Amino acid sequence: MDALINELKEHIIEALSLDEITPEEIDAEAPLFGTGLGLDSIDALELAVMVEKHYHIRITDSEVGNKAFSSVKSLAEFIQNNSAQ
Amino acid sequence: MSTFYITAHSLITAKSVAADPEGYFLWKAVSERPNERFGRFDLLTKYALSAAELLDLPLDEPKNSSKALILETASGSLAIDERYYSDKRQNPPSPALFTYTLPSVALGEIAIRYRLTGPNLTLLSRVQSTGALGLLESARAIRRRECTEAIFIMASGVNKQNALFNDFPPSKAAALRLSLLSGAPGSLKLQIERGENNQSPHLPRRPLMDYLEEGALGSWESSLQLGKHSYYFKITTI
Repeated sequence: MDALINELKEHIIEALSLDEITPEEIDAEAPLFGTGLGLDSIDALELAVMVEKHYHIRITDSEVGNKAFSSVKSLAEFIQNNSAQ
Repeated sequence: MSTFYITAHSLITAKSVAADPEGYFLWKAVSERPNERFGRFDLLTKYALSAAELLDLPLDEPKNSSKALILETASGSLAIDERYYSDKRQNPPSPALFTYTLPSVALGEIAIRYRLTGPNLTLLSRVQSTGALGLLESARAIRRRECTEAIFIMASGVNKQNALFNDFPPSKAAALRLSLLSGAPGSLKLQIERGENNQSPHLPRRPLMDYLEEGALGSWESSLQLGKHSYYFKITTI
């Protein structure tokens, strides 16, 4: 799980062009939206594209997306659970 | 003759922000005030917002409808348009790229950062535009009492590695604060005179950006024909 979390941090920085943030500065359990990294709706779309591109998982349900994108850790758990299916 | 005052002005060039050949630069080259989202912006927005930031507009005040935002740009969003259509060949394209295929988004990002809710206008101009049309529209917004101050920004964001931009000068931006309130000694004064039927003198088409890049020394003059009216512009130091 830790390896996936670190990999996700790298993908998030690249996908969202967070040029001045390092992976170590991202708290895996902090909210991605609102507080925390302060991401917005465009970033949510960008994250959905990133998950589809790298993990071949398409998020079509907004409630599932809200839960998955609540933090880096929850996104890692979502990917792990859905990759295994 | 109408008189306005340019109480502050700024200039951003690739050299001043240490941009690489593709125009990439970091926010910290511009300001110490945080801006986490800067990396997402397209080059037009990066340059326009950077020029606005140097005007020291307040960040934490209530929403302000007394300032107008006017952007004049020759490049518009061409750089992102090109990237978006290249990306679209892959599936799926980046949502963030699509956002910046509208050149007016640059003013949207500026309005969000400084909480400005006044009027805004984006003008797409020719490559060698003088900037006179944007100045005129800024002055008109004040005269019509749509605002008490106009922030006029000239900006272009181009990828010089791409042949599409062979005719464009490098990416850069300048911003002016225009109002009826006299600025401090050393600031600039703008005079605009309207004539009928092309009565203004034919002046060299020196871009206002060039005047600012050369340190706003001496004076800048220009003229503009718009419908049946002609306009004469002069900027001098107070």
